[in-house]
Amino acid sequence: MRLRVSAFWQAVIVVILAWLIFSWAFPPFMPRSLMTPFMIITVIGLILFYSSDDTTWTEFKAPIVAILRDDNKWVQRWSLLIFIPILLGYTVYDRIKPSLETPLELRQIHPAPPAVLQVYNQTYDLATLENPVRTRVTDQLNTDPDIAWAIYREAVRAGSEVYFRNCFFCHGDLLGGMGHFAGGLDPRPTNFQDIGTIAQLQESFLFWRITTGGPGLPRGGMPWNSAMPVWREMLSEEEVWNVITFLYDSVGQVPRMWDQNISRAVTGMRDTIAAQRATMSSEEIYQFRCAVCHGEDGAGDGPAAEFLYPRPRDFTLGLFKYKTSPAERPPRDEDLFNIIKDGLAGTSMVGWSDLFTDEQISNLVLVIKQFDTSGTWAPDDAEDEDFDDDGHYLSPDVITVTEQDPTDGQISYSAESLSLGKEVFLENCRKCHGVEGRGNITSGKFLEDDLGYRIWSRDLTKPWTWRMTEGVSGYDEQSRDETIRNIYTRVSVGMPGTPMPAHRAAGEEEEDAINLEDRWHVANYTYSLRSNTSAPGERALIEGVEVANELPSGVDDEDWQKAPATTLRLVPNIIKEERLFTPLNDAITVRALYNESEIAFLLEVNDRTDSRPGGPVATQLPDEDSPMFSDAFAIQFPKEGAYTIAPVEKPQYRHGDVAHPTTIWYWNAGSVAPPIDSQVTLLDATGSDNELVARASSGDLVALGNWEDGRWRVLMKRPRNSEGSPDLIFRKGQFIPVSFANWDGNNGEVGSRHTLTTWFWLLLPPEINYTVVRGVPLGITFGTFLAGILLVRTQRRIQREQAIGGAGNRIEEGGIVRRRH
Amino acid sequence: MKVIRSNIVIPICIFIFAAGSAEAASYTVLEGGVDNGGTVRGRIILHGSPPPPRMLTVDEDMEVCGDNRPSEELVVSDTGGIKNAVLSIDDIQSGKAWSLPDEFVYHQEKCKFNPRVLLIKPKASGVVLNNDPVGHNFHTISRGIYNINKKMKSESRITVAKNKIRRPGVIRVKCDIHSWMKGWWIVARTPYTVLSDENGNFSITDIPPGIYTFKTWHEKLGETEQTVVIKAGETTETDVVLEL
Repeated sequence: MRLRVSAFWQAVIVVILAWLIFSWAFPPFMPRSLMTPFMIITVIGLILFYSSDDTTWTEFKAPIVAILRDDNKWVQRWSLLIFIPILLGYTVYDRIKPSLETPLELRQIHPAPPAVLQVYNQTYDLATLENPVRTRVTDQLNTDPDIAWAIYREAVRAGSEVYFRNCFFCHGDLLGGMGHFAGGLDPRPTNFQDIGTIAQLQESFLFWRITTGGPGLPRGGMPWNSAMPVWREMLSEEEVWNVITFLYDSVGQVPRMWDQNISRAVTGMRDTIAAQRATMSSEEIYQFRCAVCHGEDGAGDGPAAEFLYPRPRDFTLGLFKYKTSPAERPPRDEDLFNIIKDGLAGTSMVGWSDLFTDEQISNLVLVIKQFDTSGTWAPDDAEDEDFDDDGHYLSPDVITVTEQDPTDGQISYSAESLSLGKEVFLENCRKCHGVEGRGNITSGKFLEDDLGYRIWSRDLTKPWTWRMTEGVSGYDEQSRDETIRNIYTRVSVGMPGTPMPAHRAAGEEEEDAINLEDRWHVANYTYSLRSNTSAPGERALIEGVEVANELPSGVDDEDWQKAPATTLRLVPNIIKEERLFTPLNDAITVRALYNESEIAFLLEVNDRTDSRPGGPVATQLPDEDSPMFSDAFAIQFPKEGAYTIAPVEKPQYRHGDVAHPTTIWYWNAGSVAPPIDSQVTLLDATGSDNELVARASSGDLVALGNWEDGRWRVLMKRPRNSEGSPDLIFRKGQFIPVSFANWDGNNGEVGSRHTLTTWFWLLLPPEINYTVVRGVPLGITFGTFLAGILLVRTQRRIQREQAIGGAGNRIEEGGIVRRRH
Repeated sequence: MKVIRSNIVIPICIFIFAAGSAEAASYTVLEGGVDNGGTVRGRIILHGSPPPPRMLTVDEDMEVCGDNRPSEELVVSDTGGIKNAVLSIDDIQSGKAWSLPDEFVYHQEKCKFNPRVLLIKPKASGVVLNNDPVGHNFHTISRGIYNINKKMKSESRITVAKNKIRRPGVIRVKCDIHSWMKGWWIVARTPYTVLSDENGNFSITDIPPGIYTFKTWHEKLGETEQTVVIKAGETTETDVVLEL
């Protein structure tokens, strides 16, 4: 007999398949909200199909009818009688309960460009505009290929410099859209390696996108969220074409072109380059990928270096911060390998595993060793003549360190160990890392690295900025213990080239600065410091919490604990001159409370210094290269009516625009000498090209701040409806765009040199009508249950009647039921 | 006795790593010493009147470290002599025996390095002592000569193994906890390397006759070079005038 699935189970299989297809076949394109209608259509279609003739219909229904009627199926019957109403009730509850889902923002990825573009005092026809660099190259290619290639190579070189001084902060080293500031942007910067991006576009499209930036996008492209600068303000036309040439060159793609002959020529050049790149030596790979930051000679002085903090490593000195070898030994090859492969969190060093094979990375380790001019990798018996005049060791027998600093005797993570670890921490680590571990120096120390650059101790409460330390296997115990072992190694061997010393004795007659047990305790304690912080990205919505009484008037008020903390990434303003490239503060934590009449925000930023000119930090931690300014904070809202939700339309993300003006609440820490009180100011903004206008009076805005143990806490409070002002009214149940800014005065941040967040949503949750939210689902559950009981009773009565009547076979039986329907 | 006088004035320049070199010291001691060698002696003098010493802020562990104190980066005598300048003739391949010890001792006392400037014989072993009842961060900075950064408990020691410091050059020494603490280790290339005393006087003896480069180094005033002619049995007098 042929194995045959009955009609009902066929239908069930089709429904499951349909669900799987809808969920997985088109994941990025199909919104989840379409799932319900699609599945309803599927079910209706199946019912229509099976009810088209009596035979299949009866077969289809048989299992259902059996469940409803058969005496021996009472367990299934009652399970369904209870389960279906509850499911239905819950679904309804889920639908009608107040939603905290943020408004849907659908963005056109490649919006249609305008026909003509007016930049650089010229009008360009975008349909016919071609890259003049490319034209110069292809014109020469047949007559004098050497000149053509020279022009091309020079444009790529110049474009690379433009890219690494302007673009790579967001679009990344790998051109994959994962630059070190990308995490603070939404949408994420374009991934040029994705063949769905520039490979699909004409170069004129890129020219349009680059020259006019985010503000030049049409509405569908959501200009208000884009951090893409208006590059025509900062780059010349030639620089833009060079960087476009560089982009295609770097990712090995060819732009779309109308002229097939030129396209073929450009493709030919691309293939030639691809063939060359496939056979690059490791020295060439270094010069191609690494030299922009680390310099041609490995001295950490590439064209991008001055825009980076921390600075790129100088390979000539043999000092590597993150290593697992004993304190007085150079790093193991594995240490260097892992850094190249995985990158260093919180720095501009990305992991290269996407672009390099393990073998290429191993070879790059050798290249790095060859840059050394300090004898780091020379064997002990090296002779004078083995070194050149600059100190490079010339023989190939560079040493490979295999010894690993011991990590035996790990002490388990327990409350007892943490409390012992805290004592060790306060005794040994506090002076640089601060009482709370926020990396705030507790006395007048100006820390510098061995090259004389200013350096700050790690904020130990921010694990997302720890380099080569986080365990790789998620948040389970195993990765915790791995992280703790890495902290332990850091404590034992120190961080060469920085003020972080080794604490394990290596030499004879030496004594450990911190003994083995205490090193484990302090490693455990250091790990525990993360529990006081929420990481950026854990929450995106700023959800206000209503309080019945007065709002807090200070930062220590217990009521603040009622409000959920949302931590947001701060990134520097690199979109408008004057720009900031080397921020120190990377996150801001926001809480919001409101009552009938007012709304209050608590802003927290871990900031190692309380920067006020003339204050203790200014006198104790002077930096001759960087003048001291006052720390400051700001919150930005659209003005009333300057944004919409459906469809979403917001002001431009920095300072709004003329059609969508914003109001900025600003607080400045003031100065000690000359004595200036902290300032509270309301600013009106109408776009980043227009000056901010400070109102004569801060009116009803209240703001105050408190710096303690490496953290600013700033309170800002205002009426929800500021009468007589154009400012936003904070209504319940309404999503409100909000963004934040911070100035770290000790880092030279003032004016447009500051950090900021992109737009986020603030919500004062709507009033909940509990009668409706709870009553309706309960009613539906109960009603469905009653209907189910009724159905079963009816069916079982029919069953009994038929049994008594000795009615015929099952097919007729089905027919009767159907007619009854 | 013939006396050669030369005065040179140099502008300020600091080369923290400048004296570093990848080459190992290749100096050989002549059996039986140098017969009838020459001497160069003189004074290191500051041009003009010395500035008032920079005051260091002592703001950590004051009960041990004491009060604010003048910096020792430039110590000038009443007569203008500069202390702690290093004078050397490096281009002598063979000559007299070393007088620097095979094992040096370096102290941290009352949050101060002692001595401020230490001359070290290549490959010498050493002991660094923390004589204070507070911890220090013993941190050396050099271009590949000797780089360590070790936390030292109160009243503890660390050892520098023999052969660990092999190449001549300048090693900067600091403590990151007490940021005013600064010191210098100078690894000599030849035994013809001396420190000026508190009056700025120096004297290098037993030099084989010849024409050499005479170098001066000072932590604040930088480096100078000049040529000296050494004749058998004669003393060449050279005053070096440095400018701030």
